[in-house]
Amino acid sequence: MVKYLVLFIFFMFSQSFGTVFDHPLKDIDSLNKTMYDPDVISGKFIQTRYISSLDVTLKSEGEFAIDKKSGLMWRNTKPVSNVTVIQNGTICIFANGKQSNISSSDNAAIKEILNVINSIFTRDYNGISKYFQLYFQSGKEFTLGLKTKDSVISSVIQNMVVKGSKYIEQIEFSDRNNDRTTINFSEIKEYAPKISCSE
Amino acid sequence: MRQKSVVLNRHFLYVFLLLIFTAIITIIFLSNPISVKTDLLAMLPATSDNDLKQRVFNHVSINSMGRINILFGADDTALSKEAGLYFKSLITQGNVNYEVEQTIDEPFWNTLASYNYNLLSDRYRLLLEKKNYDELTDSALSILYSPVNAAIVPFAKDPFFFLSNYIMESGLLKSGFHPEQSVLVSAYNGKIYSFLSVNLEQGVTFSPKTLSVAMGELEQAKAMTLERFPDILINMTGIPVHTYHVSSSSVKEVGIISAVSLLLVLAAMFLAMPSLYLILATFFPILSAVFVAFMSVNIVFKEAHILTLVFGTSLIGLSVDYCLHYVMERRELKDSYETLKQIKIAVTISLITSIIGFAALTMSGMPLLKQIAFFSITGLLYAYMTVMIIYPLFFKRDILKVSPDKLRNIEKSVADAFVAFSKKYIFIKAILFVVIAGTGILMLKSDDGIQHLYRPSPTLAEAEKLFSDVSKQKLSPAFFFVSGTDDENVLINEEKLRKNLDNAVSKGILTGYKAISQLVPSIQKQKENYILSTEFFGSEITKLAGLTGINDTGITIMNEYIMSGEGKYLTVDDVLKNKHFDILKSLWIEGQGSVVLTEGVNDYAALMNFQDNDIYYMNKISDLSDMLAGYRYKVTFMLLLSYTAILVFMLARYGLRNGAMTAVSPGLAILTVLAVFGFTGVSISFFHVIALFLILCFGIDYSVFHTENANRLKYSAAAVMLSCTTTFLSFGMLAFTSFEVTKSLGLTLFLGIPLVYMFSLLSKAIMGMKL
Repeated sequence: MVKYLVLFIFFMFSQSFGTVFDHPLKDIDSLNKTMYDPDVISGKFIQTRYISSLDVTLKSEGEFAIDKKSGLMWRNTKPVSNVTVIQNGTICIFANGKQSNISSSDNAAIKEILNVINSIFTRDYNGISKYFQLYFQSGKEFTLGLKTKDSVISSVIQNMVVKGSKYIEQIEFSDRNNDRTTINFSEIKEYAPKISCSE
Repeated sequence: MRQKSVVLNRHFLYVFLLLIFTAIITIIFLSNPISVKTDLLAMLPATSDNDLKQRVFNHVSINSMGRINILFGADDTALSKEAGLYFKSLITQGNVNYEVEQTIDEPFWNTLASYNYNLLSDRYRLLLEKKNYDELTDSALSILYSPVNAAIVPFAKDPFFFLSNYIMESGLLKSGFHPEQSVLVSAYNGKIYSFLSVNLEQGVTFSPKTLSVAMGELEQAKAMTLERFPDILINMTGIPVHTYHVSSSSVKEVGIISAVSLLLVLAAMFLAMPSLYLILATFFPILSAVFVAFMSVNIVFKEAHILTLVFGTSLIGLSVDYCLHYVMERRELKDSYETLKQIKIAVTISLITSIIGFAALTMSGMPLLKQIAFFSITGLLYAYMTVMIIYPLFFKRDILKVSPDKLRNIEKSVADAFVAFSKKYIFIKAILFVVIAGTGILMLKSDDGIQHLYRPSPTLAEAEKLFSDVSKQKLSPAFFFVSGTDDENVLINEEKLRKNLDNAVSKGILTGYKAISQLVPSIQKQKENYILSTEFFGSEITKLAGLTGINDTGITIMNEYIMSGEGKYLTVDDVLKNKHFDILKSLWIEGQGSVVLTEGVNDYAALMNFQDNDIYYMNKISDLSDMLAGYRYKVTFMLLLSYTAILVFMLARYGLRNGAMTAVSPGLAILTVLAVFGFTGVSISFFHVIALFLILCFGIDYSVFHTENANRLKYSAAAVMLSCTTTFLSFGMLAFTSFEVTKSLGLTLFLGIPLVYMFSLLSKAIMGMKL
């Protein structure tokens, strides 16, 4: 009897807390209307990345800024100090006083992967939907699930879950190598410093 | 009476022999397949100085000749892909075998992933050589902690992201297309274009019939796809598309012009000879001559070239002379044999001079010119024999409704004007002519660029531009062939060339290049890369592990992986097996060498300096253009040679004054045509000079008929005028075609035929001949 009770409770629990991937999104426009979508945003982040092949978790923290017009800036402060800027298809890395630029403009495959990542961070849902099946659950907080539908993109990112209330507060994603990354955002402001590769 | 009987018997023997000859030719012809070639390049001699280079040209040509690039433009990838798949399903049900490539099932980097420590970008290799390890480790940490880190292989296998960097910076992988939803797509101007490559079997492009079937199927598939997906855009490009459009539009254009010409010719002939019987009888030797010439070319050369037919049909203009002279004279004379006797010398001299003219072309060494000469000589001989042997059997004087008076009156008024013109200040007029013509000729420009022979329609040019923009392919006609003792040696030689090319790119001589060693380094280089990588790895892995918290087990795993890569090398075969790299097949000639394509070349001459014993610079367009320029000079020399031979013949036949005056008209006409081209800015090419040969032949014909029949010009002059009019109406109209080759021919004849006729009247006036 106890066994059946436990099973019943487990069943009820799983129904109540089913994953976002049980809720496919039917209309992207409704998502665009529902989600708060400021043009500029900045704040702090803590990123943990579990690397399955080495069974190690890398933790880093720093600041980020996103401007839909000028790009994405990612400033690591711990454990290493460096800045990555993605702007117009170019990745600029500033580390130890040196800058190295990698242009992806001629390499369409890499550019496309960057576009996907950029679309996620800048919440370009129409762009995202080209590569992912979208799932959505909302209440007081929202959860957006993304499953890749493209074989090439899936070799880099497989599933992604974005959570938040007014702003995005957490992004989790996994790749084909079973590496998992979780980024938690805090102290979010609707302001962004100038984002430029020439800084 | 007995003598006449003997002549008649001999004549029937000739008829019998002609019929036997025609029957034999027809039987041999029918037992062989008819073949008409459209490939201009096939009719030119080999441009390369050795067989290997020729094979390279063929390899590069074959790889581009049969490829059709199709883009499906839509608002999103799914629709674009669906339209492409539908199109593909339609053409695979057709009658033509196509090799169709569209789907990409796996990321292309999977092929490279096992060799990541052997593959270093030039930038990373330089940093490793300089032992600038900190920069590489810092870069790896930045990528590792960045959210945009695109780890395409497990971190343990590529902790310093060498492979990601290699893929990112490899010049060969620079392409507008990327794999998405298992197809190659490119985003351009707000649309998504999926790419479908269709390869036609070798030879289809040059077989008008098969190409027509293949392109018909593709066009039908395009129409059906557009019907089902009305919002998409389908863009087809590639050499077969151009060939098809050129041949179909040329056929249409030449068809219209020919129909108009034929109507005008018939009208002119009907005015002169109001008899359908006569008109048909005139066309009989001409058509049979063209047919026999076509059969003979097919038998001797195994195939006839389309340009042979275009140029060769000029024999219509020459053979019509023989027919008209017979008909005009027959009306006047009571007997067939008397008519033959009357015209025999003039027609025979005309035939000999034409044969002298065309025979010179056979010495050019160019297959096309040999074919044209053979076609024309065979056709002329047959037309001559038909007139001399068949005509006497059919024409009776009482059925001939020839009215030479009308033509004679027209020609008389023109001739009188020339007589008046020749009476006063002829010397001053001659000097004036020399000065004006000389000025025009000094202004003459030449252009032998083979690329100018074809100008695509605005629609096709736009389609090519769209493909170039979408695919980011801006290839130049210049390329290098790299040879070597084996595959490894080829790659080493290619890497040597690439150092020069990289230097040239930095100087702006070209914008880039495509070489297979950009993706597959030589084993020698892979070994060096591996050593550089392991040295770096040994030095930096502990540092990376310390900064990231990777424990000793992790270090061991990474160490094991790098050690397992020793002695494993990426080969060209590995890469060519991947469908994604199909396009690279054109860069590799199995067992022979490799091809390095160039992009955005600004200084072709500078590239030639990179040649050595194993590296050959090649530029098909400039090679062919130089060759055509060489042939232009050669043919000009032969024109002078033929003209000299004809002049000597004329002097021997007619004496100094009359011989010179008989031969002068084509020379004056040619000089005037060249002067007009000089003044009007028409750049002359090889094909204009070929047309000058025809002016020489036509002009000598007209003058010979005038001179030979000086004492009975009434009928001869009418025949010459009618012949000139019909030839002008037949060939002058080609000046209005859009295909450069026929346009060059037409324009030269449009000016040359009336001029040579007028100059023959002028020379006749100076000689004191009167109608």
